[in-house]
Amino acid sequence: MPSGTRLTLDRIACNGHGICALMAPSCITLDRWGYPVVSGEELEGKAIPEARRAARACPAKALKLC
Amino acid sequence: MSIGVSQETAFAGAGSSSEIAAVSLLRNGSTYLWDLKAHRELYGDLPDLSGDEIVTMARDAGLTGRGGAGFPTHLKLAAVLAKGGPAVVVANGSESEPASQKDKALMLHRPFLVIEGAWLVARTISASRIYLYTHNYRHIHASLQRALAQLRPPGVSIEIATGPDGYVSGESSAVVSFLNRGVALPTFTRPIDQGVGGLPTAVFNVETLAHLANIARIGSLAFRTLGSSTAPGSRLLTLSGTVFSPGTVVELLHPSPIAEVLMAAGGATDKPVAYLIGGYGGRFTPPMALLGGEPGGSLGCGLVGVIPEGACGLEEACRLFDYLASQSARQCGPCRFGLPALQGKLPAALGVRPIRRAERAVTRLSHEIAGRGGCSHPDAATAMLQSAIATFGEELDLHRNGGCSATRSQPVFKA
Repeated sequence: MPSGTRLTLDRIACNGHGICALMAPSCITLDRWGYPVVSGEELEGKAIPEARRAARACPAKALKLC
Repeated sequence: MSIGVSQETAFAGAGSSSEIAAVSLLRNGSTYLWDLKAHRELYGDLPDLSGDEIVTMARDAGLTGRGGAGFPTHLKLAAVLAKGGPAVVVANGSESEPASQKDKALMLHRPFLVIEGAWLVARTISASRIYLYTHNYRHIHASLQRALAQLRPPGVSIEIATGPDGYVSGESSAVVSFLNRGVALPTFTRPIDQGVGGLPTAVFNVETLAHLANIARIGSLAFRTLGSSTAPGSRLLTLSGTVFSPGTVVELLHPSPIAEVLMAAGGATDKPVAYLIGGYGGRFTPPMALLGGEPGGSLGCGLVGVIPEGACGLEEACRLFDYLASQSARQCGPCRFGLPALQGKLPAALGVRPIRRAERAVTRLSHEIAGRGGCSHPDAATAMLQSAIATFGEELDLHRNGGCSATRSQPVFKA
């Protein structure tokens, strides 16, 4: 059953703090410059609460769940 | 900066007979139409169409955006319409591609078509404000002002807005950002959702608008016959690179032999070994026979540049890439850090002492960067580079053995 929940990243607002990858390792990795790589696919299982925590923690408010 | 006096417009196209010339966008080539009466004599009056009719007309014509992305016009109109309530129209004439001239030529030669097209869109989406957005070109301002002094469509206010120079400053969200806060940088918010003054905003390339004003007169079917089944309608091209008159603007009617199209600019000065299609953020292709048969967006902003014998395509690509990297808005990490990182790998990957690993690194880095910017700038820059590697494979082999085919002292594109 798909969750319909996706993570969106405002790439312009993102400053590459990198906290999100610590909070949500199952759905966010960092590239070689420390910027998050977000797939845009539907989240499943533990990725959903992790992503929610990551979005709350983002200092740039660049991550959103929708 | 002003646009050169050598600016020419011409026709190209197999069988550009008088019947076809009678419905084409430019009608009679290079005449300046600065007088409303002369404009109406040539094109006829603008028919009174409802918003629904305009959307249907754009759909039936298969009109796509002529700014580069090739997005279907009727879908953009429908998307703004679906928002309901008041909206704003922006006629985007910024044309930030350094070698492209077609939008400037159009605003200079056919200002009324652009204004009429913007007004048709304003009618469709119930907009009461139109912005004509350009970079700071004195002649174009004069042309638009002269036209506005004669043609003030009812029910809308029209304003000319002048944005700053810069490659990404003409991107639609950057245009909206400039009109809102004076900063011409791409934003994450789509103009359709939240544009000028927070209202849904339809940003259309000026050529797209001019086509709309022409289609309103000739009908969607006649427009389709100007192109092919996969790429309906005619389109403006800028002929560049090593042609006798670089910067010549031509209306491409039907898929046409490329050599014939180039004759509008006096032909190629040297034998073409490749072409740059669609701007600095476009793609390199090996010589092909026909121009225009492919789907709408594939010609990008309509730039056709000749790469001649005696030029090293890889050097050209590197120079274009340097330019594109310098034009990053530096807002998104992958673009801000990724493009310079790629730049650093290029000499080793494509230079005279090539290392296969470096070439792979370029490909890997390109994949890491593409699709990860707020706008498509990093995607375009990396795709251009990949197309150069694909097109100039023989040159790459030559470089591996310490050679290079470059004999010219001047770069083809002065990025």
